[in-house]
Amino acid sequence: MGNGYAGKILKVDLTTRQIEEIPTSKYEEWGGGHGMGSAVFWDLCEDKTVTGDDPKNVMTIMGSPVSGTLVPGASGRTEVQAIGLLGYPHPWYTRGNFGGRFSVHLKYAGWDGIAIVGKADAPVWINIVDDKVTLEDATDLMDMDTWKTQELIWDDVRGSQSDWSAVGGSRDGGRSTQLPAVLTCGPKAGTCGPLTALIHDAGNAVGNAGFGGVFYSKNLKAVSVLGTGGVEVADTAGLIETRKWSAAYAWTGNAEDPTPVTGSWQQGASPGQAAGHLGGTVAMGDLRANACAACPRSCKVRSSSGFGNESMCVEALLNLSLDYATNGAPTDATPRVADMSNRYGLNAYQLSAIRDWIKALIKKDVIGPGKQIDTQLPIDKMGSVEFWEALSMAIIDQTDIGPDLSMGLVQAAEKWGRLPEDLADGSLPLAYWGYTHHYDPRTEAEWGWGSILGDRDINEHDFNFTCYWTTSNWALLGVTPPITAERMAEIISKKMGPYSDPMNVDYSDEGIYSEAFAKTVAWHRHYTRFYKQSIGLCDWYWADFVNPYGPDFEGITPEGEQKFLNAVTGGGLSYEDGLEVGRRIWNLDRAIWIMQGRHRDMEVFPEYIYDSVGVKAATPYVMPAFVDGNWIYKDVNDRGIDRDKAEEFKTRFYTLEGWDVETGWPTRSTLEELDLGYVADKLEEIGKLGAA
Amino acid sequence: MVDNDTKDVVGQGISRRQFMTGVGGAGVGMVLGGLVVKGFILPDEVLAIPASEGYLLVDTKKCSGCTTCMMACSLVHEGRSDYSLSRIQITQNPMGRFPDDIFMAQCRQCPYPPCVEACPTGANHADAENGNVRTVDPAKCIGCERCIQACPYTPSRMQWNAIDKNAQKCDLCANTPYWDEEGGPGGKQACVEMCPMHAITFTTQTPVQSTDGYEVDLRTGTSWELLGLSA
Amino acid sequence: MTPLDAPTREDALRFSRVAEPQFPAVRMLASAGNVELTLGSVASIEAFLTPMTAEENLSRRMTGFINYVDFKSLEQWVRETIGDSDLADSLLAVVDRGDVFGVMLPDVKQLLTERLSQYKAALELDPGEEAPSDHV
Repeated sequence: MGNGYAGKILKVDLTTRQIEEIPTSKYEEWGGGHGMGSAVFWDLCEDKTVTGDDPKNVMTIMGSPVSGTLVPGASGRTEVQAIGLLGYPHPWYTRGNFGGRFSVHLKYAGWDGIAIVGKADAPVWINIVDDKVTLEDATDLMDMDTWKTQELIWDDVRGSQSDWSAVGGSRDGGRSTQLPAVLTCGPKAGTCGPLTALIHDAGNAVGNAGFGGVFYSKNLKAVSVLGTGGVEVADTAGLIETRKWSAAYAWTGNAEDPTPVTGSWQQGASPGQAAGHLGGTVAMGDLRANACAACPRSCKVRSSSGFGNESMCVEALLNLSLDYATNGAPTDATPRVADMSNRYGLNAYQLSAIRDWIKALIKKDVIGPGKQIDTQLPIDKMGSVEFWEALSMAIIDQTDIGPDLSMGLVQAAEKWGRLPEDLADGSLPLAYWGYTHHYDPRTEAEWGWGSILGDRDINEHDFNFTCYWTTSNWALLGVTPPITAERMAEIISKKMGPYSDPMNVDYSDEGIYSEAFAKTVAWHRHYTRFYKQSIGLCDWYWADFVNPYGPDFEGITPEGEQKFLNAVTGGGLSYEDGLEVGRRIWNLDRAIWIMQGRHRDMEVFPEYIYDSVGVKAATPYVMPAFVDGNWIYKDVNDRGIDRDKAEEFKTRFYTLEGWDVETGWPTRSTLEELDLGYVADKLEEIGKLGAA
Repeated sequence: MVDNDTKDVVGQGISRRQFMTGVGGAGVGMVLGGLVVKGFILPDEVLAIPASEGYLLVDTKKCSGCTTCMMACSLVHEGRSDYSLSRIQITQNPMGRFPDDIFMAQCRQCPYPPCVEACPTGANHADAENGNVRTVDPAKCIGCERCIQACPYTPSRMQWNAIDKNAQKCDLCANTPYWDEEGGPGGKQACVEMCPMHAITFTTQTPVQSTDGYEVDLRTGTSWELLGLSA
Repeated sequence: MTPLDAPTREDALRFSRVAEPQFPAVRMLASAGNVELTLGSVASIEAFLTPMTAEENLSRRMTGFINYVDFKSLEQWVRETIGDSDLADSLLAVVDRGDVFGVMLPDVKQLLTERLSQYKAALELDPGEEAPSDHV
């Protein structure tokens, strides 16, 4: 009987080319993924104030105890952390994660995670086949796109795909029919660091943070892993039973009679959702739903054209609106542009911001040949593959405006003399730390608060799917809501453990600054840091608040999280225990940010968020709100964030977290309560411990 | 979906698979003495064995490549999630074109099972207690791997268990010590039960197979048609 | 809804024109985001609005869409840019009910459809014929 862990973490020192093992038991208290990654980073990164491209930067690539198991929407996710290259005024120590099958092979190869330190003296890729770890020459790969890189590594590791391949040197040395799982940066990722991503398979990306550039700065092109082993869990029958139990809340358990209830659901969603992002069969040809390892939701697709494979959400949408505007309907340009961002290893979120910024600059008549922003890019052909190819190559080859954009968009705006105006009026849509405006802090307040109190665009849809998409769909379609706002609020608050408050999801104009909403944000920060990022529960599958198949619309959070995790580990972790580990990770991360220079004064939005101009959702933002003594679904699209109330909210939040309200720094007692006394010591040493 | 996973033609211009699977719907399979083709010509030299009472059918167009079936298979049989110990193999090329980006390799429970024929010890046999499913008795397996070589399909549906040091194959879940369900041809199969796409099903009827494989459509007439994917 | 007074031929010509500034609209694509458009005439807005039951929208699955305009802004645009205050008053009556978009949509669509018929009648056009200045 096992507990889901492989038992060891791989440490690769690129400078010395030494390969070491770290016992996982040293870090098991953190769960896995993010928690383990932050703890390893704390121990291995000697100077946490270095820039992302410094050889002293440490990158962790972590699985979790549930990697490679049947836990749905979790088995195939891998968490990546390091000091990033994207961000303003600082690229923080940050994170991203990706789906696919990398974490499965890592586990099956016998590793719970990888820590990469130092910098190689020549280009390398890391080749992991079970226990055997080697550094291979990557000289010929560094300028290669991500797909070609992977194909060459596949061939190198195991040759032909379709037959069993003996990967060890003996009869019992391991055999597999599988392709190695490869994580790689794009061509010349060092030249355009803030805009880079890491890519796995066709379309799984660690998009934000500029981690492609971090790879490149270490002379590291790729990490490949092929595992021919497996993983034991504590309660095999319990895991299978829990999986079958959870299926009743998903399309898979209801495929003979799927619900007619409209909405955007986590576990209740039907397969192949990315087809809608990419233009569907019109743009792509015949489609299959495609899933990450062990995931029933299967939100991605692969196509008969080969375009758009595994793309979804942001890169899939990169060209769709332009395609509609130009051609009136999706064409193959939409999936081809998605492929382009994946092949070139570019961050589609930043490309989205560039797209919208260029559109605004065209309206202002300041971009084009001979204009303030002098460019020969075919900006009159936005929406075409030609435009995106030209833009991508300008970035990669450092021509035209590529070098300026590659510094980071805020930095480019500064250089072009556009910063105050374009950031203030929202033409340059960067809502938090220089990250692309995603969901709107003015309406979806938990998204905004979580982002500025953290390190990046949170990109966590727990409340978004339920409280915005679903409710707004009902309003737009004129559907009588199948559940009342009061019931929705009741279900969600019931699932928030110690942070439960009847007003948790009061998105009214006053509610978003309330004590109850501070609890909501705290729950979100702690839940996601543990359950999503440390255990690997996918953001598009968990948490499961409101579920169309659940009894009276109630989803499986928190029972699901607890049942699955304990079936794998055999531990007795309660839901609340997990949230507390999340709080611990959140405080450890915050300590690292403080060492990097974080202070309360920095945790603010750009002007346009306060002034309610510029980027504003053009469509209703219908959310649950408590107004005049009643719960209603209310369109909250017409508001900005009030500066004074925002500051009051921060004070409430800091107080709730046990942080110094003047500085936003954790106090010793808070850290010691979390068994982080050694972190308090370090902050005290540099004079940045919060006053009690 | 037509699968075309036959190994290269062997001898006399006839593929192993054409011969082994060519008689769809037969109620009795045969184990041949001597050369395959010779045996085909000389039916009185064959030893009849009963056909399996159950078969897995897969609809590759419906498969999402999630590999839940592989994890479930190894889990119920071996107590561990382990691709290399799964008796059904899903191979895929992420950059490939639908439908050729994914291949589902399940054992056919061949009417004329060459893996059984190749076994020198009788370890690989039709299990009379479990609906004649073709299976391996680990106690009798000497590790010669002839069955693995003999399987006419690619990848081989016979596989080497490097932990227990014996060959193994799909037994339709007749022997699943880590699962509470009754398996085998008369019971449940973990891959069928756990596939979230419902892309695998079980039948007691010997599938009609052509030289190109067999057609399975588990999509038409189901709610799959509502998804906007390949119907 | 009470039929509006028929416009004069002169008014109908004016109300049928493609006007500036054009009116912003959004084509919302299921799970795919928004495409922002501008529409220049009452006829183009009427054609754009697509009442659909939830069942119809659901049956489209991933090709589902909602064509959205803000009705309060539409009322102002019709009043101030097009100049058809009678139509604007009727739109205002719908908007003032405070219903959600999906409930108001069929009524707004009907209002616009009927008003377009009145324009065409005043211009002595066949029902299927477009007003001469209506190019979108």
